[in-house]
Amino acid sequence: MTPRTYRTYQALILGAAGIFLLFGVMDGRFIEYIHQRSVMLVVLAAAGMLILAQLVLRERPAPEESSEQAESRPHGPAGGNRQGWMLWLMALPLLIGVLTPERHPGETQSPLPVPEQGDHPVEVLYLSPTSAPELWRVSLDGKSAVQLTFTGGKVFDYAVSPDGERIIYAAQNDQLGFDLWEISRQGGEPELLLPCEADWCINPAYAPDGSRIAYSRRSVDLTGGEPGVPRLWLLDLPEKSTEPVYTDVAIGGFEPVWSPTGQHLAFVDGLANGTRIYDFETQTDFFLPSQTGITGAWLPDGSRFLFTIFESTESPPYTAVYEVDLRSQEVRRMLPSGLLNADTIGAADENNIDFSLPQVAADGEWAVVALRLVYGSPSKQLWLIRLDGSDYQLITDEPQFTHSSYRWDSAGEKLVFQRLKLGSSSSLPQILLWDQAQEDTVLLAEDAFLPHWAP
Amino acid sequence: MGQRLFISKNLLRPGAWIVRWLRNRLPVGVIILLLLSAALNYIEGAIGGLPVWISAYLDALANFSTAFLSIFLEAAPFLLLGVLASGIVELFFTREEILRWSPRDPLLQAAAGSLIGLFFPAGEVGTIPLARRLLLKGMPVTMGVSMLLAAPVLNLIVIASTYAAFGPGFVFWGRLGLSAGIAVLTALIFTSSKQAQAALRQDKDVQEKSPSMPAANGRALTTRIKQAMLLAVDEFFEFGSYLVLGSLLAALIHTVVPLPPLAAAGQGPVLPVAAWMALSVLLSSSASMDAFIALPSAGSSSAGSILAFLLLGPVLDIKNVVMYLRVFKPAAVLRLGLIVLLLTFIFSVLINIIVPAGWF
Repeated sequence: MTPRTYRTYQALILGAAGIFLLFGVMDGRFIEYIHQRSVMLVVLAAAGMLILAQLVLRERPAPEESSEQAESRPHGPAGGNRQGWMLWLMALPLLIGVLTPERHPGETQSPLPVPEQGDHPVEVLYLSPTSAPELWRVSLDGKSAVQLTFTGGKVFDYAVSPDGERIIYAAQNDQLGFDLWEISRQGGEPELLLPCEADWCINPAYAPDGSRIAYSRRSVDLTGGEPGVPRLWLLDLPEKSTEPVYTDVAIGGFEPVWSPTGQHLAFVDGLANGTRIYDFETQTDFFLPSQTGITGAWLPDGSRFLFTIFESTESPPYTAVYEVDLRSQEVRRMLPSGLLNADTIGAADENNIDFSLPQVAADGEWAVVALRLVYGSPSKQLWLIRLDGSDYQLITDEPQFTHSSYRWDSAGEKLVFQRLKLGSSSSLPQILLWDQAQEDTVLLAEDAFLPHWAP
Repeated sequence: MGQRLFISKNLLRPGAWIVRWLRNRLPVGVIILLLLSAALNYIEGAIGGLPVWISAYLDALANFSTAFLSIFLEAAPFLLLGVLASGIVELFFTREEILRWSPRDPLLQAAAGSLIGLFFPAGEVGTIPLARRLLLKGMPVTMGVSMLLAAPVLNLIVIASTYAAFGPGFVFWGRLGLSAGIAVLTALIFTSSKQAQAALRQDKDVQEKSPSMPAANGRALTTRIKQAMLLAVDEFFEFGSYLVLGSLLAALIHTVVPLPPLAAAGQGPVLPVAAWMALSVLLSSSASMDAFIALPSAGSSSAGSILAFLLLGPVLDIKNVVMYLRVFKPAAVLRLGLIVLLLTFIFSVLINIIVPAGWF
């Protein structure tokens, strides 16, 4: 190889590396960029590398050249000339970066191409099967189900973006931590949003404007011990930057729930045994003792917040529902005595009722809640209750099933929920849909859990 | 006739012929393998699955690729700094000046060498070409070895990152003090042997690529800057190719060998130190990142174990060892490595015995 050729290829390799680095710096994520390779880039890089490889090999001995002559050449023996190998090795990082397939350990990629985004019918998302959870979406008649993720059953939980187009899910990685991934509701190739190595990054929740997510992070040190206390973090989606909400190590945080306006973020502070509500405008918070480990639910206008308190001083203990007014911070008991009278539910007073967290419909007037009598059946049934106490309606009347994970659609007309048959260790959860107008219930999925709406 | 002679000689040396045959086809073979892998990945996506062993291979390849690129990209900017400094030294300083500035006493040489990094923040990878340049220009071996081992830690970037991670406490001062101490001791022990002066590689290609050009030869400043840049580019490719090899080896080991079970090493003064030293060699992480890698374990690991990780990693990880082979002969690299390992181990275990657990 002549000095001029050597210099030319040095310049080419440095130029290619410089272009890649420039894109990386501009994009702020170099590794992700080279993994988002296009077909054209792959073809060009492969062609370039093949030409370079041929140049490396070009200086093999001429047929009439003896091996001694080849060894004595200024740039070494055939095929082993040092300059050629230097060029080849320096081009190798580019080659590997461009050609190595991006994969998610333990995952086979989705066979579904990613279609263009657009209007979609309202669907329901859920995880299934319980033994190896993957993300699915299903039509509202339950007839058309599509698997979205292929992680080898490593999905932990997920959240749907406000427009329903994107889904963030937490999936276990090789280090037994949990990373955050984002995928289109149509499936396709997911994007690694936040690699967390051995840490557990779970419980994602989209802000109402979709620009950031709150999530819970449990740090694991290099000794491979148990993960630490869950703490609340924010991930800025455009910038891909993440930071803890609190620097105070005495404040824990999991199961974040954004207020409809995005001004407040409610979450469970496991260290203080209650729910904490953080105000992003004033950067202050206030604390609600709870002990149930459940965050709570916002009313549609974001002015009030419902949460549950475990009344452990009563015998037998039960869970009661409370409401806090964010302006006055006044807390009051909800679902007062007489709302569900003895004739209807058989309870002498409300203290005999064990509630779950109500979910308020879009109109702000009606809520659905699962409840049971503390001395009655262990199963919880779903009730539709007007918040002012003027009306109520039984939705499910199946004592053999207990009901949970209920969520209204955006219009407050349909309800998706989960049920589990009691009395059998082999029973598996089911996802069902209740249509208020039709007063009809449809089975959407067997062996499935954690339903969400995809608007 | 010539061709017959060529073939017959190679037939007489079948081992060499096989090595030559493989070497000649390696570049194309690697490209074909990667293209084949990309195709398999695409087919897997198209048909929804492939045999488990193919998926496992593709997963391993992806992990290997990520590890390799991380190690290489982390180190490459520092190498660039190092070769630029090397080019400037070559064109702007004479051998006589280097010799005049070097102390005569070996202890002073070692002490001075350990402080050079304070003026040159190029990390462990960038220090290697600069150290070779200075050694070729006449710097005493004691001083060069001390610089090679201390500069990766005793430079402003790593000092700042260690301070940010651990604050001005025991780990911070321990890392700085022991890095200098181990570098000085290693340099003195290494050069006490009669073979020390012959430790440098004297290959023809090294000499060719590192001409000891006189600086004060009246050439114009722009000419000298241009020559320094050209020399830097040549050295970037020369050491860069070794960095690629080192990163490939480190990534391969990272992919194949599981990290040492730190928790299983227990709480004694000895085993955790060994486990943390093994981890530092296997991780091949940058010296500026080491402190943040070790930080989460500060509460659960002993001071000696943490320091063993922070002391050894910057000077003796896999990629560094491969690059040292461009400066020293293999036997000298082995001797250097053993001295550093032994001193790091002894100091770290002593700290574990003296300093109570959780004290720092």
